[in-house]
Amino acid sequence: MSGSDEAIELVLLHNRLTSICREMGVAMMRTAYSPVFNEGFDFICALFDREGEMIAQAEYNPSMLGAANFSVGWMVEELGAEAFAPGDVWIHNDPYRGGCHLPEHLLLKGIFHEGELFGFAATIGHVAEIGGKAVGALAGDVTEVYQEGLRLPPVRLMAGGEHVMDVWKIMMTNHRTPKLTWGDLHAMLGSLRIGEQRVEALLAARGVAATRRDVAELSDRSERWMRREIAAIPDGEYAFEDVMDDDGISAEPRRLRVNVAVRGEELIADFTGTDPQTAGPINATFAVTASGTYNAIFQLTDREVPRNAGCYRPIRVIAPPGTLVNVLHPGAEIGGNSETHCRIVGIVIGALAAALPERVAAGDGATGCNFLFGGVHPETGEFYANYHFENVGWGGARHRDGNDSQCVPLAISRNTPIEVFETRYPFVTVGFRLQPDSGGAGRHRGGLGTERILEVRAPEVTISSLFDRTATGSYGLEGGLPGGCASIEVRRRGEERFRPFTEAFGTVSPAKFSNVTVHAGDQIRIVSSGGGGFGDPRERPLEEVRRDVRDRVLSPQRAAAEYGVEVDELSAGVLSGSPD
Amino acid sequence: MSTAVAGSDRSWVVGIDIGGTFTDVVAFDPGEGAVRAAKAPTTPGNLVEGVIAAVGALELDLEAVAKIVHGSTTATNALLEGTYAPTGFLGTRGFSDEFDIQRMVRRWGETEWSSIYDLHQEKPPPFVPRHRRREVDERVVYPGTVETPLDEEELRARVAELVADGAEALAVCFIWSPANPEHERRAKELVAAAHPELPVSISTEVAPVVREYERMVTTAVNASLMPVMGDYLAAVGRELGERGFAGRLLMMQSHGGVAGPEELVGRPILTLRGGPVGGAVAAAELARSLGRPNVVSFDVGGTSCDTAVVVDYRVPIAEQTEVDYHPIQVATADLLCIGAGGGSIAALDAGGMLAVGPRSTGSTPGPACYARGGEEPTLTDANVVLGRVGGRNLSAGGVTIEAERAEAVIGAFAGEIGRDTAAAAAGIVRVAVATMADSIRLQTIDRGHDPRDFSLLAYGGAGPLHATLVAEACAIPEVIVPLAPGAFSSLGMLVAGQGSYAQAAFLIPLEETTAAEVEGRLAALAAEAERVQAGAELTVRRFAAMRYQLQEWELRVPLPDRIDGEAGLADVAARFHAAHRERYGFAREDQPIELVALFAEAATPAPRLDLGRPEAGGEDPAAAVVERRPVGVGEDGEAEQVPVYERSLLRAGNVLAGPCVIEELTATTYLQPGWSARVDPSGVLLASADGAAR
Repeated sequence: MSGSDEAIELVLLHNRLTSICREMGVAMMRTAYSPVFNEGFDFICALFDREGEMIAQAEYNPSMLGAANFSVGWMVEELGAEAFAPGDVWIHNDPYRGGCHLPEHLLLKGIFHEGELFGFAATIGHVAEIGGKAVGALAGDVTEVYQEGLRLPPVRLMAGGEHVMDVWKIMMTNHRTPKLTWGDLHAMLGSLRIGEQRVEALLAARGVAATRRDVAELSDRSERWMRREIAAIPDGEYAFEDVMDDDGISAEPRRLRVNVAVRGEELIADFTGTDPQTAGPINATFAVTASGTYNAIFQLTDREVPRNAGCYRPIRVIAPPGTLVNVLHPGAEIGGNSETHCRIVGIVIGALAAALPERVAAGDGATGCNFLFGGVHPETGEFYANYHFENVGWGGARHRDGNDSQCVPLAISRNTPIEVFETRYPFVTVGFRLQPDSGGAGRHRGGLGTERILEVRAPEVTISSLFDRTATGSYGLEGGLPGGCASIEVRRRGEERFRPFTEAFGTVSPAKFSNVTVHAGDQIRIVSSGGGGFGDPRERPLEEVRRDVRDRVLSPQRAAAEYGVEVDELSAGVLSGSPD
Repeated sequence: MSTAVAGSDRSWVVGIDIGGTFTDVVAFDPGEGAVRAAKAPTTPGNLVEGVIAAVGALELDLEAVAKIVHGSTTATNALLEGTYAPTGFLGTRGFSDEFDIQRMVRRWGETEWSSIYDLHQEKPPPFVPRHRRREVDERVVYPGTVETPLDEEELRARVAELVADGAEALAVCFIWSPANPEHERRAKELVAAAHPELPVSISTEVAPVVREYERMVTTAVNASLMPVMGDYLAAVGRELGERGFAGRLLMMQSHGGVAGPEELVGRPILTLRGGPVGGAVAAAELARSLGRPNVVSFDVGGTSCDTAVVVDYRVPIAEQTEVDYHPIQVATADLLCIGAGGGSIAALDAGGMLAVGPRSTGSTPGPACYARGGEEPTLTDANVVLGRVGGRNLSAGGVTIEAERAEAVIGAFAGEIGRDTAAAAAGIVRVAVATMADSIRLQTIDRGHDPRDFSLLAYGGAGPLHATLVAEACAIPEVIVPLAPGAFSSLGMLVAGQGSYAQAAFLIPLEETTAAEVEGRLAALAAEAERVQAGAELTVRRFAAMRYQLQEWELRVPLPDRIDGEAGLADVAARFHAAHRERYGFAREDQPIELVALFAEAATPAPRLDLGRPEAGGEDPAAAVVERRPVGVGEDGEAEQVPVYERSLLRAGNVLAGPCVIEELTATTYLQPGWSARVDPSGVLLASADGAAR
C-alpha cells in the first residue's frame, strides 16, 4: 500500500473495526437480563492490540470507554500476554486496577491468528447486584471497598472455552440475584465471541502485519487530530471548583478543584487542591478522574475524532493520591463513579468556560439519583433487586436552553418504562413529571429535572440511596442562576407530607444511606436536579418567559423574582392550559 | 367488502406509487397478462391531482378496474411538513409529561459519536406540547385491576378545554390500558357523545403494547393524521368514483400488507412507510418466482441505500419505527436506510480520512455531472469518471451527463488527497461500497444469517451499478438485477399487497397459559385480519413475540397452524429456543419463556407478473454490444476497454463476462472483473463470481 492510499484503506479499516464493536453491543443488549444492560446501555464493547492499546470502540457508556484505557492496559501488563490462550476469558472488577467502580466487570478475550496473539476483544458491563452491604452495591454509607460487594482480581472465567466453575460458583453464591448475573455474563461472553470471530476474519482477509501497522497509523492520526483541536484552544490556565454535599458518613461538604492548563497541543488537568479522600463512598478512582476529564474535553472538541488510543494521548491528568479524585485502597469508591464523576466532567467544562465561551454549557444536574431496592417479591417469592437512576436537566448555553430530563454526561442510559418497572417490582408509580422551577434561570435557562413518586406494594422493601446535588444547585454561567436541587423523601403511610430521610429515619445524610426498610403504602418521592442557567435572566425575552409560565415549567413567583416579569406582564390566558 | 370481480369485465389491478418527483402507475390484467405503465408529476400539497392524472394517463376504462392498490406518502408528508392536525392528549394523572421526558437517552447528535459527546444536541420537542395535554383521575395497575375509576365528569371538562383551545383531533392513552382497555373505550364513547365531529384515537386500538411512552406517542401521531387521511381518502375515492371506478381501493401499509379506507380512517399511522416498502415486497415476490428464498433487497437511489433482508420469501417486520425520533409502535417492514446514494458527497474529514455521505446533493443541484449547478464530488461523478456510467444513458431520467464536469470535481478532490483522478474516483466508490456492505452485514451476520446463503437483488437507479462490488464485500455469491430496475418499486404495489395484519399484547409466562387460551386469542386476531381481505384463497399465518423471562427484548417467532395442548405449547417453546439460537448464537432451554404479543396475518396469493420476456438466444451476447469504452476496473481505477451492452437487445441465455457495463433506460449495471452474468428466461440478470450462475 502506498502512503497516499491511506485515506481510503484506513477509513475502511476504521469503519470495519467500529462496526464490529457495534455488532458486539447489539448482541449483548438484546440478550442480557438486567435492565441496566438492555434498557440502560450500561456497558461497552471495544477492541485492543496485544499491548492493551485501544484500537476501536463503539458509542456506548462514555465513562467506561475512558476507563477501559486503564483497566485493559493494566490487566495485560499485570498478567503478561502469555497468560491468554485461545478460548480463555479473563474477568476482573477491581476498581484499584483501573476500573470505574466495583459493579463494572471487565471481560477480556484474546484474539489469535495462526496461534499468535493479535489483540483483545473487551466488554465492560455493570452487573446490577454483586453482594455487599446493600442491594445493588450503591449504598451511600459504606466506608471500605470490602462492604461494597464481591471484588474479583483478574481470574479466568472461561478456560479453553469451558466454564471455570470455581469462579462462577463464587460469584453465584455472593451475588443476591445470581440468575441475572448468569444471564448478563453470558450476554457478555456472546458479545466477545462475535468480536473474536469478526476480527479473525478481518485478519485472514488483510493480513496481521498490515493490520498492525494500519491500526497504529489510525491511532497516530487520531492523536494528531486531537492535538490540533487542543492547539485551537487559547493557551492559559483555567481553574474551577465545586462542592459536593457530603460523603454519607459526616454532613460536611467536600471540595473538588481543577486547574486546566492548555499549552500548545497539550492539555493538563491538575486536580491538586481537591479535598482528601473521605470515609464515605464518594471517592473516585484515578480511572474515573481521567475518564471524566476525557469526556469533558471530547464534549468541547470535534466529536468525530476517531476514538482509539491516540485521541487520549494529548490529555494528561494529575490527581494526587489519597484525595477524592484518586482513592487509595481500601477506600470506599462506589459513588465516585456516578456522583463525583459527574462533577469532574462539570468542573473541567466550567474551567474552560473562560477559554471557550461559545462551546461550553452551564452545569448539568450532575447526579445519578441512584436509588436501590430489593427484597422478596410477594408474588414470585424470589429475591429481586434493582438499581434505579434518574435523568437530570442540562445546562443552558450561549445559544440555547438546556435540554430537560436527559441522562447525565457520563452515561447514555434510557429510563425503564413505568409499565415494565411495575411488572418486575412491587411498586406502583403515582406520578412521573417534569419538576417545575428546577431549571436555573438565565438568558438561556437550564433544563428541568423530574419528580417521581413510588408507592410500596410489598409488606416491606429495603432501600438505599446515593445522590448528590441535594444541597447546592448546578452552576450557572455568565450571570445565569444555579439549577434546582435533587432530593429523596418519604411519606409514611397515613402521614400528611413527604419528609427527608434524615427526619423520618434519622439518617446522617439526606440522600446517602443504606438499608432503610419501608412498608406497604409508604411513598418515596425522588426529585432530580435541573441544569444551570446561562446569561442574565433579565435578558430573556418576555415571550419565552411567558411560554414557560404557560407551560407550567416556571411559576409566576419565580418569573417575578428571577426574570423580573410581573404577573400583570404575563398576558391574559397564559395561565390556562395547564396539564392538570 | 369483497375483492371479487363483478363480471369478467372488471379484472384490472392498478398499482400507484407516489414518489418525490413522479407518481408512477402500473396496471395489470391477470386474465390477459397485460401490463401498462404511466406516470405524472407528483403534486405536493394535493396528491390526489397527481394520482388522478397518472391514472388518466393509463388510458384505461376505470370501470374495468377491480382493485387499486396505492402507496401514499400522505401520512409521512403531513408529519414532515407539519400539516397534521393540532392534537390534544388525554392521559392518566401523573404521566403526560412523558412526552417531554421521553426515554432520556442522548442520541440526537448528527452522528453516533456526537450523540454521546455533544453538549448542544437538540432534544426533539414533545409531539404534543404541554398546553395541549390534560390528565384525568383513573388508574389501572398490572395485571389489569382498576385501582382508581375513571372520573367521567373531569374527562368531559378537560376535553372541552382542549377543543376550546383548538385541538382538531384527540389522542387518549392511559397507563396499563393494554391490560385493561375499559377506561379508554369509555373515554372514546364519552368524547364521541360530546364532540361527534372530533376524531379520537385510543391507544389500545392503535398500538396495544406495553411501554407507555412509545404507546402514547404512537397514539398521538395517529390522531394527528386522522383528519388529513380522512380528507385524502374521501377525495381520492370521490375522484376515482366520478371516473367510473367501482372496485376496491386499498392502501399499502408499513409492513407490506394492505387495508381499505374504512380501516385507515381511524388508523392512518399504519400507512406511514407504505411508500418505500413497495420495493422490498416486489423483491420478495421476484425472489419467489426465481426460487431464491433468501435475498437482500438492495435499493440505491440518489440519496439513500435501503436494504431489507428477505428470508423464506418474506419481508422482515420490525415492531417499531421512528419519525423524527418519535417512536412509532406499529409493525413496519424492517428496512435499514443509510445515507449512501448517487448524490452522496465525498469529502475529507478533519483527520484526513475519506468519507462519502451522508451529506448529499439531493436532486437539486444533483451531482456535478448533471450540470445543474452541483460543484461537489459525488458518488455518481466518481462512477462517471470511471466510465461505469456513460453519457448515452442515464440513471436519472431526462438528465444529460457532462463527463467533463465530473472529471473536474473529482480531479480537484484527487489533488487534495494526492492521487490521480481515476484512483480518487475508485477510492470514493470503494468507501461508499464499504458503507453499504457494513449496513448489509448488520442485517445479516449480526442476526445470524450467513450472507453466503443469499442473493443480492439490486434495483433503484444506482443499485445495479454497485451490486457486484457490494456482494463481494459481503460474501454474497449472487446478484439479481430485475428488468427496469429504476421502476421496480412501483411494481411492488401490484404484486404486493394482498396481506393484512392484526396484533394484540398478551404478556404472560408461557407456562401460565394454555393452548386453548392462545388459540382463542389468535382466532380473534385472524378474524380481524381476514375482515380486510375477503377472498377464497386466503392463508393465515400466526406469530408470537416471545423472550426469556427477565429479558427485555422480544423475538418474533412463526407459530404452527394449530397449537394443541401441552405438546403444542412445548413446540412453541422449541421454536423460540431455535430462533434465539439462530439469531444470537445460544439458547437457554432451562429458562422460562414469556409471551409478549400475538399476531395474525391474512394474505391472498400475489399475481404473477410477466414484464415481457426476452427472446431466447445463444450464449454469445455480441449482438447486444453497443459500444466499447475505457472503464476503470482496477482497485485504483486502472482503465480497460470493455463492452457496453444494451439491455433490451440481450437474449435469454446470453452469458456476459465482466468487466462490462449493461445499460438500459432507468439504470446501469456494472459487472466487475471476475463476475459473469446470465440472462434468465424471465429477463432478469443473474450474476455470480465464479463465472457460472447457479
